[in-house]
Amino acid sequence: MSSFALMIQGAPYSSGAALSAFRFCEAALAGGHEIYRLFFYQDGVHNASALCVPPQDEFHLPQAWQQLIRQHKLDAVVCVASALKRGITDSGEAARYQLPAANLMAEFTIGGLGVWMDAMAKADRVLNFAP
Amino acid sequence: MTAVAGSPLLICRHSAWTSAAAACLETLLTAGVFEQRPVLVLLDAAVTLLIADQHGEVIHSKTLARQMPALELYGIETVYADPAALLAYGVNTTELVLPIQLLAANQLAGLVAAASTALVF
Repeated sequence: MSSFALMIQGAPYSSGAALSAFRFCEAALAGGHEIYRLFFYQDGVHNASALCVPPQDEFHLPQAWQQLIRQHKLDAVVCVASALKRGITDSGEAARYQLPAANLMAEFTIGGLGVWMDAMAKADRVLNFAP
Repeated sequence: MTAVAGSPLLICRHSAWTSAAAACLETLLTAGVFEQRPVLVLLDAAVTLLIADQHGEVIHSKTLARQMPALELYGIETVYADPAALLAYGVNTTELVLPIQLLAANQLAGLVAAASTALVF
């Protein structure tokens, strides 16, 4: 069994990066491997938005992430700088910046690049899903 | 090749005016702060990060190239650039913001293999 850290840099519907990461994650977990951490960076932070509503005949990737993270109790971190820049925020950051709403799904947490450095140091394998 | 052995390798493909390049430099500097001695590879439009005397304020952008000379302070001593990209983007190699090593043909695969981690931006 190996542990994996995944950096996801692609938005849900702009490239295949995020979907590839999700499929990898599913396969790794099904194969008995551990996901040490998911780190959503740059446009990848859009995967954590609670406000995505794709057409009914399309795959709801943010919701799929949410279910996978909840089911396997994964550590899913959204880069704070990338998120705030793109309008993704939790209630704490929303209050700090006096924003009218928060839209980060509860299964995700906000963190900095130091969290990613920890993942790079501790996971057996690091995968980078970029557009 | 030895410079990258066991170090994270960051590969940037985007120009000096993009969020992707900014994210690459941010990750690079953070890895430097964590004393991981990261190595940077500039491909395609990313070689524009090496051009001196840029003025991003004209297009309401940060001038990321101004950060480049500070890399050494973060323990980042090795920066590779693709000579074909330098040529394609008209980058004058005698006036770069910091010293670089030219990436030899077929060298990238060896760098990726020797690195602890390879991140692509």
